[in-house]
Amino acid sequence: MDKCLICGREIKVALDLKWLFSLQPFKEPVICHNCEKNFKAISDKQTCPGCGRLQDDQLPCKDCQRWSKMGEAALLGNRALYVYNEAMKSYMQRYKFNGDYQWRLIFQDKFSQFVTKSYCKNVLYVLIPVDQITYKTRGFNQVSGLLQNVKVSNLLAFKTTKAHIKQSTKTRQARMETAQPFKYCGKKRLTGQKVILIDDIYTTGRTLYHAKHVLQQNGASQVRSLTLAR
Amino acid sequence: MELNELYGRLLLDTEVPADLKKELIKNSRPALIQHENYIECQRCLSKTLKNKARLPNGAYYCPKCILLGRVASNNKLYHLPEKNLFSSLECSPLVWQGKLSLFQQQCSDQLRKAVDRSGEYLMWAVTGAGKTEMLFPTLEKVLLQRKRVCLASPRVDVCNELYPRICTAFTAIDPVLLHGHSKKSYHYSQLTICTTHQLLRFLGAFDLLIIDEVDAFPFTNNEMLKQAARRALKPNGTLIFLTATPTQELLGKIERHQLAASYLPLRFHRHLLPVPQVWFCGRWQDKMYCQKLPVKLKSELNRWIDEGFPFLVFVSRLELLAPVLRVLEANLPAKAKGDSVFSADPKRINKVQEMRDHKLNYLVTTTILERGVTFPSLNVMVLGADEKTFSTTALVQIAGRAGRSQKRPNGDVIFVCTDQVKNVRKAVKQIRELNKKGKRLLNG
Repeated sequence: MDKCLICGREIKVALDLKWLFSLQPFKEPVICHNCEKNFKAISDKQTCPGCGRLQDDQLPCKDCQRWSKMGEAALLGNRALYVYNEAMKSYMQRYKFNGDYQWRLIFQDKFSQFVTKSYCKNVLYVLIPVDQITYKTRGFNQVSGLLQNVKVSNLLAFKTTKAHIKQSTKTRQARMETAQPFKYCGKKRLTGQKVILIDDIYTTGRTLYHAKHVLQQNGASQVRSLTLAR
Repeated sequence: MELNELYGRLLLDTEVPADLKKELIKNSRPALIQHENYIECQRCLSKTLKNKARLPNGAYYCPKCILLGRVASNNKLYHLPEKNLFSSLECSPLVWQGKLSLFQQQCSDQLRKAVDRSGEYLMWAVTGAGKTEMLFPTLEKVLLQRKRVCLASPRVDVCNELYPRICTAFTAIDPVLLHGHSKKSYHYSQLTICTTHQLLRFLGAFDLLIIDEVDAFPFTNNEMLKQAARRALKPNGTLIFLTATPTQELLGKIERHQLAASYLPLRFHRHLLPVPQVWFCGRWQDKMYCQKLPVKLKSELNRWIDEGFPFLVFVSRLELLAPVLRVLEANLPAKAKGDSVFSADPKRINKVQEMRDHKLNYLVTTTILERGVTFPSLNVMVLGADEKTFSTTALVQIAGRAGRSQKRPNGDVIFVCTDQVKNVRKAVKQIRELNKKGKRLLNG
């Protein structure tokens, strides 16, 4: 029997009727039930329509109202799978910053399903890229590690090859003042194409809105986003 | 960073500043070796299948020791041989004024002799025997010989507790404390106190390495840490294990005369260990589901509360904590206050302190409190002692929580079981045998 990737204890698997009737092959879990409990899933009903944050009503939250005031005609309509809580924070620390690539398996299935089932088929999936120097030291793109069997188009790239300062190390204000880091690197112009941006975390939305602007300048008709955590 | 911070260490290039790296390029070695279908990490020496270690950019990484910083195939490890460049001590660094008891003294003398030889040595002293104090004369001797010493333990709590005690006993030495949550930076010191994981960052550094609580998680059954301990030691160094409950592996080595050992089967207060009572109570779990406590257990717990002694209730799994606490609260008199603790509990230290201050009468706990904690005049109950989580060593340690004070040198220890199992029988047998040895010692 395999051990839980997070706590290292043996995983006890109970085969239930739900699995039996699903007629799916058995998939061995990579984390135990106890660790899974710490991640809080976001249900669709009570989220902010702009950023996908879990809240009590269905109105745009304050951050999203601010985006509207700053001149965004359409909000991103972000949808996230999990709340960004302590457990998710330490997950990101281990997966992204320590670079434990195995940990992608913890959410790979669920996030891939979430991505493919969220929108109909005639959309382009675009990942937020990782700059070259980070890619060299980290060895992987944390977003594409979370996806399996999802066809993505590489339409975004960093303007400079220099390492940029990571969003996660900045204060909120510094994040919001970040200049456009992306350029369009697709071969053709997107004519009226719908695009879904995929990222790991939505914090202030700055990165995703920058990406949205680049794509819209190059012809995308609608840009929305999906993230693992909000 | 100074050059001496690399003596006897094995550091990843991300831990070494750029100017030193240039200078020491000859002293570096690849951090990962690739074999046909597996990779071998040169820091933790563990092997991983390539398909589990592959990164999308074609490199490989070691997932086993990643918490100390990731080792990938493009990394290098830096090492300088240990030179023992310590200022020589003119007088003894030991300022501790206490006195060892006769039996402690005997044990301590054996240990002092053991460090003259290289190889492994075990000191088996029962729970509450005063192991740390018995180490002092040995440490004094080795420090005077300008040798480098390390005190390691698998448990952070043990390290954190050892550090101030060592600091006050050896004021002339500035020991360094290393563990994952420590904010202090490394400095080259003759005396290192660290968790066993930190030993992965040492290579041929220590003349004497003492590992306290060798049988504790994560050191036991962890080949990676065992290799790290052997490698952190100089080839002719001495490795000393301290424990109250040796594992089967260590006991086997003693029997085959592969490991020299000294025993101390008596506690410092010269009383025998409390022998656990094994109670068979087949349906305790079913009763608990119905919010009831078996009559026998209830009357015993009530007696403990009436006598005013605090007690610990051990359960095998995290999920049992809340339901057991609820049942106890419902069935015991309201004046008795209780709580539950587990390893990741943010209030763990607070709750243990409240228990010490007699604000709480009992704690429901996982095995996290099995060792390293002392509450005077304690009683202990283990619910489901026959579960797999409770190994023989864990049970002996748990029983060792009782009767640790001079005032009340005995206490009740009750193992509640559904089935006869080897672990429980062995634990009781081990305690009886230790008591037999202790009695012999007492009677001269």
